[in-house]
Amino acid sequence: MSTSEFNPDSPFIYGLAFIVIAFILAQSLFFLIHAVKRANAIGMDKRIVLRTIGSTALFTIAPAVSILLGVITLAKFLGLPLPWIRLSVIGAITYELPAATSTAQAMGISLSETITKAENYSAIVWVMTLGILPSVICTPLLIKKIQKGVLNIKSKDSAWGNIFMTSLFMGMISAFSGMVFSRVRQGIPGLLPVAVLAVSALVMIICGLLVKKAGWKWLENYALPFSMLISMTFSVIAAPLFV
Amino acid sequence: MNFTEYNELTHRRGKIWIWSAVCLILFVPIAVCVKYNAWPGFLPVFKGLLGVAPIYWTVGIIEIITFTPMLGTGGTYLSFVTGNVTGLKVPAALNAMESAGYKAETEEAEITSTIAIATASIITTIIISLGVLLFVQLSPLLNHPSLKPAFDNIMPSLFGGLGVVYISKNWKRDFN
Repeated sequence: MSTSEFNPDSPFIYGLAFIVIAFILAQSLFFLIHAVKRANAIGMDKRIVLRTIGSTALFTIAPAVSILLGVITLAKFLGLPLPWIRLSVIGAITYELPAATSTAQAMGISLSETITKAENYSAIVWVMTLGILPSVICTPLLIKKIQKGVLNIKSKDSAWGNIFMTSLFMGMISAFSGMVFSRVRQGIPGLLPVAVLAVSALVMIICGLLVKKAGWKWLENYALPFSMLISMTFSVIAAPLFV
Repeated sequence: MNFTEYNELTHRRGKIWIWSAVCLILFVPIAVCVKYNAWPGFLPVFKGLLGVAPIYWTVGIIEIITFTPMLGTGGTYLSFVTGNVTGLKVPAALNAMESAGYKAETEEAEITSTIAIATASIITTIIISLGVLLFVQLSPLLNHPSLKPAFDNIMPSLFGGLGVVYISKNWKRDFN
């Protein structure tokens, strides 16, 4: 096939996408069944298992729609199947867009039009693949060493082990706080992410009080999805005030 | 079967899945190159990688070191194949363990984390697939300017709530 006939939305690339998506679903289902079977074997409360599935499913909707937006963004340039593949396996929009941009710049092509040359397309696919591959390759090589290290810390001092786990989490929160507060110096428009963070925190505090003081136990599993959805709705309503 | 044996079994199964994923991930660019007879050559790929690999290779390894203790064995093998680890899989696992009242590194936490991450992966895959199928109809709605602030602020909305959970959990130990 000559390169002039290249179509990034071809049935062949859709076929590749179907294979990848089927693999991801199979792996996820396999681990879900593996864990549920073990939960039954050790006599874990079935209600906790079902609540975990229900609340996680609800919590996932908003981030998943955000990932879908990433697919749509990349589709303008790369067609639909490749972003579909990339954002379903390992990828995240924060990596895929820079990878596509970097390769496009290296080849002197624009990101504003759909790609028409197979050579350019294959170069982008390779960069997206090789750029993210170490995460997958290093996981099976490092996982046992990391777990052994954490276990050693915990066995020496359990309080230190808990502090270590919390500090890992707080480190992650701090990294994201940088993103939230990075535009503060722009004035009022830069304060919207801070306000959204505050609303989300406030809703979580109210949910916590309702669970503890009013005995609304059912709310415990849905507090995070509620905090997210209410604060995101707030951002839509309040955005005109932050200009 | 005790927890150690279960963990070993998860490692064995996880390794089979993750190395199969490596083969599948590499199969995609090879299949594109063979089908279209379009091998890009070393230089364009090297130049493209130069812009992203130094940072993403480093971040990738840091993510494995940071998140493996939080995600547990099954969750780690699944998360690093399905992606969106920081923004979705880690919060999903932490929220599930926190709601159920299990401490990381216990068997119940390992199981709960795996269930949460598998559920998050399945739901995400279904939503993205539905979005792809309904691309023409959904695109104008999702790209509507009035909804843009909601998707621009997904991270603050996630970490505001999750931050409260973690700070309140450690309040007594850290501040009293």
